[in-house]
Amino acid sequence: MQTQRQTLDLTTRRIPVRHSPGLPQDFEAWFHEYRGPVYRYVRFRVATREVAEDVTSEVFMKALRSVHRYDPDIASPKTWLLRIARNAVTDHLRALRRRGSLHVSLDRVPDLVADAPSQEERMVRQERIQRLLNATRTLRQADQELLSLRYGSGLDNSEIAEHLGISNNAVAVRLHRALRRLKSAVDGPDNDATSDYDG
Amino acid sequence: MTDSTDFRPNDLPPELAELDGEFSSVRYEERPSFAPELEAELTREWSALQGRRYWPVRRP
Repeated sequence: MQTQRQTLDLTTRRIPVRHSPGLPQDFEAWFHEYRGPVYRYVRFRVATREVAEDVTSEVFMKALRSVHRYDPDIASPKTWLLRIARNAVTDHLRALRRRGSLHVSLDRVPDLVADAPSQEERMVRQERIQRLLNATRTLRQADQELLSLRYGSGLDNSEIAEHLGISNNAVAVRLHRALRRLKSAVDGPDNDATSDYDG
Repeated sequence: MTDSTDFRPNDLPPELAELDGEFSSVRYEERPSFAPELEAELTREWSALQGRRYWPVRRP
């Protein structure tokens, strides 16, 4: 990953950067606590495990380089990291669009876990979930973002509200609408032949 | 995986509640070595950042 020199604004420096052999103490704790939600958020929005790993790595690398600028008065560490993740995903998807790499794919997803008592039921369940996930990628970005925060990262309404800067009630309303649009996408006549990308 | 009972909107109609339940069961398996690999990479990067001895200061 490319290293770049960051600009430090001493007037907004909130966290003293401790020079030690390991990671800064706060950052290390954040990594262990929030890597999972960040990874799952990213994984929910991109098509493969490999891309999710690349984007997640980029998120934490960017966060590390700018940890001195983190302001706890503005956002929780989780929200801060997820905002960096959102920007990284947006950049990734934009790059894919520029390359014309967004395309249809209903390939099986090997890292998708479907809990079911039998192998056959697991297969059926996995296909159904994959169909749902493919359908999410036909939705507008705002809906994808919302669904990824909820079902990928597992945020509750108040956490989503903090992340998006809207009220809890607005989150509930938007989730409702996003699920309804998703339902329409899943039930749409051409669902089997649309959606997803190779990003 | 999410616990949908935590934040399912109370007024979801049955067909959307079903969708919510299905989505809440979505789980991706993370590659076991990913986290330690990334942590090692971050530690190396942090060490390199410290090795530069100074941070450029943004002028007002």
